[in-house]
Amino acid sequence: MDRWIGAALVALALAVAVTAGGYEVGFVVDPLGPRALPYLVSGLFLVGGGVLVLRRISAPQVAAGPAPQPWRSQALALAILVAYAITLPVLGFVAGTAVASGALSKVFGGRFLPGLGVGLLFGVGLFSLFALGFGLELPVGVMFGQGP
Amino acid sequence: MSVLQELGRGFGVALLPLNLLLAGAGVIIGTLVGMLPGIGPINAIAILFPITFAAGLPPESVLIFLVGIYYGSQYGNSISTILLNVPGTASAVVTAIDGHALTLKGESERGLAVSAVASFVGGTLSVVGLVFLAPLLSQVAIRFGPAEYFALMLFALTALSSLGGDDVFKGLVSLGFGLLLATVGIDPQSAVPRFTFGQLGLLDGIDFVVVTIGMFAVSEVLLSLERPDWTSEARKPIRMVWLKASDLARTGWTMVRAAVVGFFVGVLPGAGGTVAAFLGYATEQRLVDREGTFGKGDIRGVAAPEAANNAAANGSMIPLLTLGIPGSGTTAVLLGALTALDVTPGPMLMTQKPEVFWGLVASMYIGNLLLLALNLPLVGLFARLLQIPRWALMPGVAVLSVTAVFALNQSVFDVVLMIGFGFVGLVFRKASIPLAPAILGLVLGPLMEKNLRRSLALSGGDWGVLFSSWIAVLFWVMAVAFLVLPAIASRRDGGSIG
Repeated sequence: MDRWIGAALVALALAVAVTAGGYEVGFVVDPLGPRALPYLVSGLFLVGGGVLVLRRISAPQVAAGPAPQPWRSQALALAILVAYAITLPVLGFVAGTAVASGALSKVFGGRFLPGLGVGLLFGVGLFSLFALGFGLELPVGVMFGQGP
Repeated sequence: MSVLQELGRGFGVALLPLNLLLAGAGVIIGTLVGMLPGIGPINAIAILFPITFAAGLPPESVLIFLVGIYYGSQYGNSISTILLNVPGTASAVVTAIDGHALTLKGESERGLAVSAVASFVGGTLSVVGLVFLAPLLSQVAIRFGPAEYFALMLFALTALSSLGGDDVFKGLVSLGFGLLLATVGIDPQSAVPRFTFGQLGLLDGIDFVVVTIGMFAVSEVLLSLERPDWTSEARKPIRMVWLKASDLARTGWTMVRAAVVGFFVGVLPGAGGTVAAFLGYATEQRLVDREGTFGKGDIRGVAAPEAANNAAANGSMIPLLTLGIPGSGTTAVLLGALTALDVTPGPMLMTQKPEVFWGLVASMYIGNLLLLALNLPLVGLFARLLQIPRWALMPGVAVLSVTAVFALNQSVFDVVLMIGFGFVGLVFRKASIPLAPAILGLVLGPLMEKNLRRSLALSGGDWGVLFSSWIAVLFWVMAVAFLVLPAIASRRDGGSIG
């Protein structure tokens, strides 16, 4: 894994350096200009990524057994979160939170309805705290007459 | 005015009903997040900061609340460690050795009592240390110019990158990532937009809350999907605990010595609670373990790391408050919060905003008393919360993360960005790249760049100005030493440090 990340970092280092090279150099009062910090970042990635690619891996690689597949549930959880964020203005905070909690509960090995219930409590609680306590509007949702 | 008079005025601030309430809420939340494995103080502070910010509280009240979460978590982290052998936060790893051995012997209540009292001793002694060391450090720091600040920040960054994990190169990669994020947005000095890719949402830069919640909280939720569940083991009821006089006599000096060790480790950038706990434990093992009982359920093996990690948490507030330079991930988030509240920590804080500085310090005395008073009788109640099933807890954390970021700017773009950082955090964790240097780089990056460019502008482009005072040179030497020494050490013994 280190090697892949190292390679990605070296590529990123070059991209950062090329992008930063396009920034106009500042005036006389600012001898360093906006390029310096990106160049430093590029250097850090180049050194760190280069070492990760080139060095010998001393620890023996963990044998790839029939491990459970966390990647699938992690991808699912990420997808649920993105969907939650994007639909927030449409569904509204309370309904969106309840549905997202129910779906996430299922990913975590629980059941949908209890998760929905917990999410509903959370949603109502947080909504009241923000709207009534702090006077901050969270999205109400199309169902309750608010435009997206 | 003398220190004690100032402290008295601080108590006037800390004892206001609102601040008392917030200190109490902070330490209770801190105990809970410290106890629940995976949800550390940094997540809680990052998530709750936008919410307190939205509430429009005065800065000292917000700080009293957030710092309460920080030191409260150092009490709570030992509960799951002792009962389940699952450290609540990284700094409680050492407590597990003797703490869980006590539980296996059927003496978990004794372990919890020792841990609570040791945390109190460590916490309170280190606040005393803070009261006397902070003004001294402020007097030194008041003479720092941009060149000294730049070198000091460089030292803080390299120290955290090299001590924060066991691989200095991975620390540097993480630091680079944080610095890269720090450059995003319009460069304030040349008005050039950097790395914005034409996105309007990126012109103002990326908020540290978005990055922190994503990289820490969201990635933790994702990572917990591949960890074993602990809740089924948390069913044994715990009664109210009390420390016996004989146990206190046996551990008293251990607590005091470990508190002193932990405090000074905490003041140094980079080291933090985990290193403090290791050092406190190792020192006591060498000094008092004559019968060889450490590791087999010795209460002194619980007292030492618990006193040390609490003292380190408070010690780490000193560089943050007096220099404006955080030395750890959690204090970096606190710096971000302070900046957002328009409070600039540094040598002028004590004189310009005494209500913030002394109010916070006074509230830390009160908070530690509250924690002791809460933890001894209520530890059984806290322990029962470890039974909250994960299918309810983790979606709750995810929902709170989304709410907190949304509340910041009401921007769906920010929330999606945060989820993206959650993925990045997951990749970092799986590749054992430490996360804290990224946060420190993000928060310190703009300050560092400003100070470097300011000192070079003042000198007309002469780089010699960076080494023109002995203080700056000292920081440069320390920064280089922290970079080079671990690399040599890891080459020699093929990996881990310490």
